[in-house]
Amino acid sequence: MKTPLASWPAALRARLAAPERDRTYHPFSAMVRKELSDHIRSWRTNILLLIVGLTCIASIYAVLNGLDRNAELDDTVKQFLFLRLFTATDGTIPSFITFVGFLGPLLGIGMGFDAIQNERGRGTLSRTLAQPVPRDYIINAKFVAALAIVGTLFVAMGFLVMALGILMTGIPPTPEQFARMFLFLLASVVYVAFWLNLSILFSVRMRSAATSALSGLGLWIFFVLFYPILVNVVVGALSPPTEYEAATWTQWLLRVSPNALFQEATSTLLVPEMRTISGFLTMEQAVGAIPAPLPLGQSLLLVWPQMTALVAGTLICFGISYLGFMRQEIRAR
Amino acid sequence: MRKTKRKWMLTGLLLVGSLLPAGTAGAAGELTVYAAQPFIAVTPGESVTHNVELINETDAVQKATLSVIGLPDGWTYELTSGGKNAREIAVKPDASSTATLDIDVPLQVERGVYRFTLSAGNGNTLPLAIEVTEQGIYETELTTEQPNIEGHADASFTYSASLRNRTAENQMYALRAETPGAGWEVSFTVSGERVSSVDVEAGATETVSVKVTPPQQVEAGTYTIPIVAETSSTSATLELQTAIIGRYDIELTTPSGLLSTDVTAGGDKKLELLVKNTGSVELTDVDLSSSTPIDWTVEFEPAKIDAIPPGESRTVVATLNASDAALAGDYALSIKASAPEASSDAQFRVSVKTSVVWGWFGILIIVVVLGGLGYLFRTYGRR
Repeated sequence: MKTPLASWPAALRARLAAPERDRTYHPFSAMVRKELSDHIRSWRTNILLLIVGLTCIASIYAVLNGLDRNAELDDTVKQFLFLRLFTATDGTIPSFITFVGFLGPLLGIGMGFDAIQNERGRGTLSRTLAQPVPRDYIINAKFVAALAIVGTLFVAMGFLVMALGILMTGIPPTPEQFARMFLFLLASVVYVAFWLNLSILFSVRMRSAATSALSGLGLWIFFVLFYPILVNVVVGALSPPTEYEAATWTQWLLRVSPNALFQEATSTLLVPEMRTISGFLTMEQAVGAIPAPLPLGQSLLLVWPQMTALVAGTLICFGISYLGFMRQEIRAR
Repeated sequence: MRKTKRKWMLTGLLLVGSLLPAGTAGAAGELTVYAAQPFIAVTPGESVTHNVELINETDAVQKATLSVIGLPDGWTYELTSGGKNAREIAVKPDASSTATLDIDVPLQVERGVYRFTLSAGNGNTLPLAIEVTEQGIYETELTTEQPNIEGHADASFTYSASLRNRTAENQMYALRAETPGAGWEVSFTVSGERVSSVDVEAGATETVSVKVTPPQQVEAGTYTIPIVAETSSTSATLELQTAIIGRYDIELTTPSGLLSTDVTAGGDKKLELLVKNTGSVELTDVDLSSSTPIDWTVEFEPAKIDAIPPGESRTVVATLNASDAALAGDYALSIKASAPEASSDAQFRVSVKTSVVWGWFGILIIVVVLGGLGYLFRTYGRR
């Protein structure tokens, strides 16, 4: 970290020149590598990645099919055709962002729910800690490795979609569209990281891996399926004076759900014409408004609260699981 | 009736004559000279044609020497028969012969009735008369029915003038105009072509269209433009009048011409406006007003301009205040400068930007959380 910039190339050259067997890794880096290879070799992670990857490719395929059929596109659609690949749907298969919003949590939970129990169950936790490594390296390495896998997956999927889109439409993305796509991928990684951390938190707190998995999945199903129903029921029971207020209340209540935050953030990033997250304009706001796409900076400012909440939620979950793990008593069996 | 009677009488005479010895054939009254229209009214410069019939009522061939007696000075005539110049005409017995008498009435002639006689010799005469209905002149006339046209400075004025050649010869008229000042343009058009001279046959009339284009910055008023058509011997003048009425026109723009700006939601923005008087008359009491999205305000400094002379402009600073509730993105804003006589709209496109305060607040939250994590790392890490 404190190495001056000037000495970087020299250090890099020395590292690259060293033969494979002589290369020594920092203990943390070694642990991350081990975790990465565990993930890549595990059936569970591979099946999850395959499910996410295939469904997303299927939705892209449906969009491209739809684009071919609907030659009658208006100008704004044409202008942001590239971004439409992520948000549009031909009605048969949900859009890309819906899939990521739905399956991302599953991926996160699947990769993290037994992070600690697994080690504990096999008795490797105490053995690892017998080595001269700090204890937090374990939990940090688990988080970093899972995040690296998720990040790689999303960047790969994003570029795959971009390549498919260019192939099928012949229109390359503008730098701004590229930036929007990249921010969307980043938001997706943060969103998956939130669920990953939540499940790591459960794996730290719960004694059994099954309980931790069920807690994570239960929370996921609650937020994806039952929470919107619950909000509707609650708002209906409170019976707000106007339709506009009902919508506003629903929205504020829905924002408790990370799923809603993710949908709001990504759809605003990917649809530049969206000028407000609420989806409706008041009369005062609508008068004189010219329908025109927002610049990227303004879209970002619009979703900044959502992004802040997601990042903060992720970090808080990680902090709690870190704290829990560090205070835990670990005994050799 | 009288004619029939006369014919019978003639027939009787003929019968009597045929009984008489041939020696009397050359006596006076042997030929009757006849014209259908002995009295013709014309205008000066015209030519008159009399068709004359010579009737031989005798049974011998009659020879007549034709001449015109008593024609005024300067008048010319021509006698033809069968297309040929004829001085003597022979008429068969009991037959008739025709001759044509063409008389050119000169242009310079007094008004009145002119009497003269066509003589066929041997006392056979026919009195003829020509009435000249108007005073004859030897000059050119340039007239128009509408010498005065009114319009704005940016209009052009087209007059239709009649050029009448009232001389005996074809004339080539040079056309020119005297403009009231620099920048005026006068052009002449004859049958669709722009010309500087026009050829008019004797006695004929040509229509000349005169197009007057005043300079753009001409002041209101009435201008007289004399038009002259002249040859070396004759000329005519016509005075056209062009009445320029004042044009009220105003234009609202910005010094740079840029009609877009940006503003932070809930924030202020100063806009410099330019109010131009593009008309030719001074504008007074120019008011500035705006039509904005709801809860937006625009204040003008000054709010009212007392007077703007033609061609000049005034600067106004507008302070725009966007509503707190305005969404990021573009809004349309219309500012209007209106004098009692003219008004101008400027449509502004205002890009609303979200305040970055809450963005920093979000960053602050993340920094606090990261700080908390850092504290955890420091407290528990690396044991």
